[in-house]
Amino acid sequence: MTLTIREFLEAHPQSLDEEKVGVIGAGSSEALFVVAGPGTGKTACLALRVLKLVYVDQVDPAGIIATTFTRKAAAELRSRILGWGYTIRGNLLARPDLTTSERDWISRADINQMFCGTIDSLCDKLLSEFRSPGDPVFTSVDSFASTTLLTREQFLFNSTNRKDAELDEFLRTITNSPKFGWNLSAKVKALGTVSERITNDLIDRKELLKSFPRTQRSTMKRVFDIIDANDAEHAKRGYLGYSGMAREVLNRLQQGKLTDFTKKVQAVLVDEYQDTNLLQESLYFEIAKATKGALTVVGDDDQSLYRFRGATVELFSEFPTRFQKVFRGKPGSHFLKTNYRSTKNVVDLVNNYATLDKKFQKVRAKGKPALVGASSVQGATILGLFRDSKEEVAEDLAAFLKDVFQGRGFKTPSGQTIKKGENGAVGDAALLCSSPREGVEGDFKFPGVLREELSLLTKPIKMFNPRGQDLRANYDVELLMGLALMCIDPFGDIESDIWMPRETKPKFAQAREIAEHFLDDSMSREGRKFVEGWAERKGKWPRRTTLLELIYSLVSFLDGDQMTDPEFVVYLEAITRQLSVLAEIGTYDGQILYQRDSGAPSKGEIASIKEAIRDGIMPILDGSTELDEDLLPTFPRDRLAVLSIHQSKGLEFPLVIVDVGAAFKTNHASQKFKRFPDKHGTPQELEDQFRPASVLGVPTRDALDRTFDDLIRLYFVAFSRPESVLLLVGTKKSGPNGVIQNVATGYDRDGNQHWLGNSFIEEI
Amino acid sequence: MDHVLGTRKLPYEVPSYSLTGDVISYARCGLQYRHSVLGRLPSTRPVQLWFGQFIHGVLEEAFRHYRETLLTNPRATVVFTDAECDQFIATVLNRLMLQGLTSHSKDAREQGERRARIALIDLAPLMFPLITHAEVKLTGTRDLPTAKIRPEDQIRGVTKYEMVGVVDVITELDPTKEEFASNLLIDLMDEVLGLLTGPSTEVIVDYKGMRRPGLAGKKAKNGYRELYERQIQTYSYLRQAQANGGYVVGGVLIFINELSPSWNDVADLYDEIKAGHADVVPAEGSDDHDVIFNHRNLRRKFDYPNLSLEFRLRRALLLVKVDPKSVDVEVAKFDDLVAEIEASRGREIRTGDINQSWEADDSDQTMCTACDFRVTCPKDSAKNPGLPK
Repeated sequence: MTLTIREFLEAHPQSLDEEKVGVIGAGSSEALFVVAGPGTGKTACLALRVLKLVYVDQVDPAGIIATTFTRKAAAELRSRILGWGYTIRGNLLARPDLTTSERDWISRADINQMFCGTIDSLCDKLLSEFRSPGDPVFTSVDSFASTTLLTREQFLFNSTNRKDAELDEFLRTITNSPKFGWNLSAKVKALGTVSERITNDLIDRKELLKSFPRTQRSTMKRVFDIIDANDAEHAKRGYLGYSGMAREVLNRLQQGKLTDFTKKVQAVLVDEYQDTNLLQESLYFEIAKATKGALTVVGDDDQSLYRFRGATVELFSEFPTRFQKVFRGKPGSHFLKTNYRSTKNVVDLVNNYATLDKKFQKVRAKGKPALVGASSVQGATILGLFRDSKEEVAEDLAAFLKDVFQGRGFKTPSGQTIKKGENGAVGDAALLCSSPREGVEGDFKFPGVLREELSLLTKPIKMFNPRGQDLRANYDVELLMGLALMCIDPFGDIESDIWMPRETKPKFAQAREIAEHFLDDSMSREGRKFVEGWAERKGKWPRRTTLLELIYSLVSFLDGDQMTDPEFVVYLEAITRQLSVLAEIGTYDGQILYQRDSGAPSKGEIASIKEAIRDGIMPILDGSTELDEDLLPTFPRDRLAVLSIHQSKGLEFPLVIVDVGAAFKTNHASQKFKRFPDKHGTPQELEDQFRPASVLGVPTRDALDRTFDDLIRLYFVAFSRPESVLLLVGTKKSGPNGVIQNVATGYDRDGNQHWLGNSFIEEI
Repeated sequence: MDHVLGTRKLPYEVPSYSLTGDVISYARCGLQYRHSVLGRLPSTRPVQLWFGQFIHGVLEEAFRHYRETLLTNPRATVVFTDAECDQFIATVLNRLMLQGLTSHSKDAREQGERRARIALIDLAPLMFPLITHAEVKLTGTRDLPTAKIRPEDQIRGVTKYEMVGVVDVITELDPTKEEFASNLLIDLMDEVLGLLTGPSTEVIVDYKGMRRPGLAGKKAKNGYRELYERQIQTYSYLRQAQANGGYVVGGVLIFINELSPSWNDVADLYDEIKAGHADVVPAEGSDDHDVIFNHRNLRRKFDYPNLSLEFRLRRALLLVKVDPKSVDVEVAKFDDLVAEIEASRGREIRTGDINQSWEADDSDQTMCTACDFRVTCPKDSAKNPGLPK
């Protein structure tokens, strides 16, 4: 027999709708354009397509390349392929009617051999495994090392760059950044963004220069020089950032240097294609040439959230025409519209939201149908909790969570009762915010106020929000850094000899102050002895100790059993990763020397401390060091998860609370970008400035419209996360019946309010 | 009307576990594994990686060069000129330096270079023609031992886990091939693995940048032999599960330092022989025996000990026989440890408490002394760290 798609699907334990069968069953050499709405099972669809290629079309698994946007998503896709693959394999082999060759193939085909990962991991693999003898071996570096190197070599060590006011203003202007908060860290970030954009959009530098007014060209050239110097600094160490790796792979592909790899490839599948950039598209097309166009792309333009990282959503929505230009043939278009995640009420809201802004419809993939709920459950109506202030919102939200997860359920005015399930826990709920930052004493943001309110409950509810604070604003982090400073530089002499941005100095002072208070009020006698011992370094002392070792020792003197708290360990990981960067790129490998042969500290000792402060402690205190989303562990069941909407992508929760405007008390201009922008932001500005020098060309859509599009997409993602209950929270003024214009509560960009007095939101 | 919330679905994620990175590390101490592997908290005492990476790099670079030569000359022999050896060594030294990996002293670097050179001269001609695959990533999928994990601690909606590993080299040995007839390496492997009597077979080869551990005593490197032998068994399991995997009869661990031992290595070997802790010893009356037993006198006259190639190779090779039974035993042990790790992860998610969820093991105090998390370990009584000494 020849195995058919139906027979293959019979071996899969779950039944599938026809729209998925169309994608899975398409011929192995076909190109596919799959537009998959939220909750429509696109990962399942991709996984089954891969398995069909292997078991039905007999494509060698080693010839299948599947990539997706994050490590987490790649892990899920790989898991689906492996998990289902072995079940399907077993069921197929149980068929008595297979031919000998089919049976032999299915037994032998090793699905573990397929590549499934992020594009970064694919590039890493190609550069290391498929290199010729003598080719350089690159170490891929994350943003930690890259940012530290850029800051140190191009600014801290280079006073010309540092003091260049024109460069400063130019970078601020082309990234459309506000004057407020513009500091060295922001400047380094802006330069990094510009550099990435040049690489990712395959910018022609000459063209780019021409596009600037004459007066700005010399400054733009200075930017090029710094980028080149930074690249050279990376190359000297054998480092390549992620964009650099992709560029290098593209070069090698175009030069025919990766034929050992391309000759094996038979199918390329890309998930989350809506967040692809031009460089990545070129790379995928180049690899797909080896397969004569067997390229499947899956995505959803409505869920494109990464313009700020260089994603160009048009590469997805215009994929059919772009593909046709390179490969001649037309890809088969498929729409996955059946939503298996949410109740009917949630699906209805998502559909309503996606269509209320007329101008948004123009940028949605052509022919996109509305979502259809697979569930027969109508579910609870959408709930709204709107109060006069964020404090009141937090107080009542805490009471709501208490009723749902600790009591008999929460009864809405219309008589609906929201209850937890039999084995339910507060981990079944998540709060999604545009930013999960909690703020600091005196200026608590909504998640911070909520944490406080939850802690005041008779049975307090804990929150899990490792991104709740800037690393630098976390009390324990400041305390640790302050204590470390008191140990290695007790009087601040060495610190005062280091150039640091004006705005960073108070952070050091604050860290020291916190540490001093702690020493005086809370620290144990042993702890004080330890810090004093370090500061004095009398008697026998090793010639080398490491800052990392000191930090680990200091952790033991903090209040409570911090190392048993998963949230604290996430912070500690970020600190130690910065210290590892110091060890990698520093002259003293992260060590504190002890050289006092002549009684006083030697120059070497002072230099080692200086380096530890400048490249180890300063990036943590000035906010350059950030938490890596990929490192966040699975959410504990006993805590309320708080996430940014970006983080929530791909996730689902039984109860989702979306902060649509707890911070909006007035129609303040500074908050407009979060709810109803009146000007465009950095990514849109960079697109306007740079795309004329790229084959992408000048954006046809106005920058402000693109800013609105992005904001609409953000809340589209948020609203489509719940399985059962969606609760919108905010101030009354920012709610559907309020006066503050807010895209998240029913306003279109022309200022029309579509949800006014609407019955599908029940206020509680 | 009541709306009862569902329970959050368990993430559908097939976990991946490696023998060296996960299972062995967990077996030493669960809490340390949580912090250093899952939490990625770096160690303040990183293992000296330089020599291991250096020797692997040089052999890999030389093999790539040899393989490239074969494309134009299929009968090329493995003879590297001094200039080529210099080039491989310089390339890898530079690469490691860029990654911040350097030897801890000039002597160590010179010794490393010498060892690499001798490996290229003595080992490569015997080994490279046998190699069919280099740097092979092995992965295999097994049933997650869910029966051994309490239901409330199960954290995944999957029934599988992935076992992973990387093998330095795989050789395919066809006894009928003429060119293998006079290969000393094959002869030595044949003694234990019985290669030349059966059909075409595969042998897994792993380079180790160290001396051969003794059977006991100070230099035995407690547990290393057992660990490496277990590694071969699990790699054999994975290799045989691969579509292009052949029939694996065993593994060879090559302790590179034995190819060019220093006088200190010889002194250690002497001590081990006297104490009955050496498993490969020279024949009495042989030149090699004389060198080892007269090492105190000879080291004054000669820079390096002059031991025969056969003896050095015998010392360098640790052969591990593989059969379905031995593989089953090791793989079952692997499953058990995976179940323990998964259960600990589940407890942490359920309770939000790391110390309560991961077992700290203080049975080996030498490990505890070197552990960065000792000061916050619930099993350590000396809670506060002292000042550096």
